[in-house]
Amino acid sequence: MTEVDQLAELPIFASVPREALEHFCQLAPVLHVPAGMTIMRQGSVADLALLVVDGRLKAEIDLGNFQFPVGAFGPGEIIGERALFSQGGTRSATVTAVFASTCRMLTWGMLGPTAENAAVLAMEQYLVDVLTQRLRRTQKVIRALWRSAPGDFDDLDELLGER
Amino acid sequence: MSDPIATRAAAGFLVRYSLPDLRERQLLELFGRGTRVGYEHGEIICREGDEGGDIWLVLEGTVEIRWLDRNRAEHAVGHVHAPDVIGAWSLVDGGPRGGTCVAMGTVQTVRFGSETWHILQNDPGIAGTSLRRLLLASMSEQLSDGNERIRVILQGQGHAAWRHALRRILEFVSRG
Repeated sequence: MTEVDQLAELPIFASVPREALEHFCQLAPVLHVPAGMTIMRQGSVADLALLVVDGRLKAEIDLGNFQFPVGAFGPGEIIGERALFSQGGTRSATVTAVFASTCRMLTWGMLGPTAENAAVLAMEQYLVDVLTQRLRRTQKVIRALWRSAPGDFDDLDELLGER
Repeated sequence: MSDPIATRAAAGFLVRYSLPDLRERQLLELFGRGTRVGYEHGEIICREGDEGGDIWLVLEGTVEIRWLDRNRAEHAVGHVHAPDVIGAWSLVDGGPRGGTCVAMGTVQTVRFGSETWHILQNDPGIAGTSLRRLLLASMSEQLSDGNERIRVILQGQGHAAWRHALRRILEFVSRG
């Protein structure tokens, strides 16, 4: 199977022409990661996002005395997406390969001024949907807890803060 | 005709989100695809639970976010300061508004309706790319900020009851 075939099998690229995927392969170099390897470390500069093509990655928040799992990412999923849309931020979690994995490296610089490449457009559309789902899910749980909390709304302000 | 509010907002977006190759004039082109809408102090921009048909780029001013408690009483839970994006979730997934947005002082926005959004969401050109990336930058910042606050609270700088509650949040979210 060619690298273009691998990408074509991912749901987010289902309607993307092969020529666009061939160009996408040049924009986003491949990264092979052995099982157990840490790819992104909490607190380090966020300069790269990863599209998982094969394998599985996990994200954990380092709480000092233990690692708290916050997500797992399989083929077709993107992790570290903040690096694509802003510069100078830091990682909020550590990412490690659960199994030997193949990824595509996505960088701020690969995007260009417009999403003329259909694969880049598909990736952006996918991220809009996925980030909306993640934010909804988080808000739903926070609200449920807030509504059952014993009336101390100052703590909620501390939690949500200013944007 | 020059529009100083839009120009300041475009410059502000570029400072806040260093988006690839994005220029002020491109953002102004994007603003031109929407409808300029102003709100006076206390005016409701969108209401919790309503169906979402619009997204707003806040060009100037501050928007207060309010949630209803179990007794249907409103509580302010945060503020969004220009330049930023509000109202995106409901437009994207068709779900109800997650909170009520109220203008604090005069607020200037550019509003995009669902029809324009769907055109721009599929547009590989400057306007569509700019809107998607502004939205993605804002959303990814919200998620990242949330992770950081949760981490700080879990590490012992918050109220004990909230630490317990937030552990439950993390457990839930990590299953998603």
